[in-house]
Amino acid sequence: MGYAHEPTGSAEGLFSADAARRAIEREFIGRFFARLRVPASPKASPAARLHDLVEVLDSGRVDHAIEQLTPKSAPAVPQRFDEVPEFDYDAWRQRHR
Amino acid sequence: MTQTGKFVSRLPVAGGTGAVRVREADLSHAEAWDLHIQDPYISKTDRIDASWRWSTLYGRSATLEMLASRRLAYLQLVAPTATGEEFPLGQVLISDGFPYPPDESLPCAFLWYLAGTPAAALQQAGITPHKAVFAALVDMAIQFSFLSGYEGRICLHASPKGTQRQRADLMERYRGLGLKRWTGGWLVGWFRRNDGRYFYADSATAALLSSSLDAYR
Repeated sequence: MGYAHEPTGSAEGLFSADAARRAIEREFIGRFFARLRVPASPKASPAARLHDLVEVLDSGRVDHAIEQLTPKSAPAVPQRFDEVPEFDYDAWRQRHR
Repeated sequence: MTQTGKFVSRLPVAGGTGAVRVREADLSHAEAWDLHIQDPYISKTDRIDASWRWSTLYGRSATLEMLASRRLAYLQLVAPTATGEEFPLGQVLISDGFPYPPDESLPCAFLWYLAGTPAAALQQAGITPHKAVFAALVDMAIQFSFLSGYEGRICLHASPKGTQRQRADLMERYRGLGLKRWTGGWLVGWFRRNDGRYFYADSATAALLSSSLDAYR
């Protein structure tokens, strides 16, 4: 048995900047990939296995698993509108390198 | 010449314009949307997005984009309530660097998911109805594309869910905005089939759409 894909350093940019939330998200991703074990087949190319994984994810069929694995943290508390910072693309890009 | 890379800061309301802001969101905002908007105002309707849970969509999209080594941006368009707090008028999930259908060697911004806040929720929050919210949400992807250096190129997939009438209406909304329907090629992007519901904006179309909202930047 093997995984079709494992999280790599290139995934870092998708996680939150907040350390605590980042830890939760990384654990979720790790457990999610463990849940989606794709049997390693000598006949299926890595691209084919990845295709299967994308199809499964895209179909929504594993949303139930995603929901179960997604940690339930507190919903965001609204800020004062005047204090909400406008989306800063450069800062976002910097965090998601 | 349109102001590229600049988001709207106002939108028309009855009698003038109202302040809005594009802000970055994260999983906590998705959970707040699910709790305060999705569950009470959308899930029990016949809207196409009635079955959505944004916390799940965020997790699914983030996972898919991670597989493709792409970045995901989650943005909300917010307005002030009667008591001065932010409240979302709508939100989008954007994939950064998706293959552009007419020429997959070029990157574009892919508008993964889009949703507008129902009127009943806005009324409860004491927010005056804003016009052009749908256009502003698509504009967020266009401006993101400009900021990413993709010359405004965007692509999106009109949801195949809902009734035939709803599917047709959604197609017409995107067509009515000025987006072009992608009719060429069987595979769009990464392992996806073209079901005839993909729309895109080339740089000229993006500039035209962007200029239509310049008065509100």
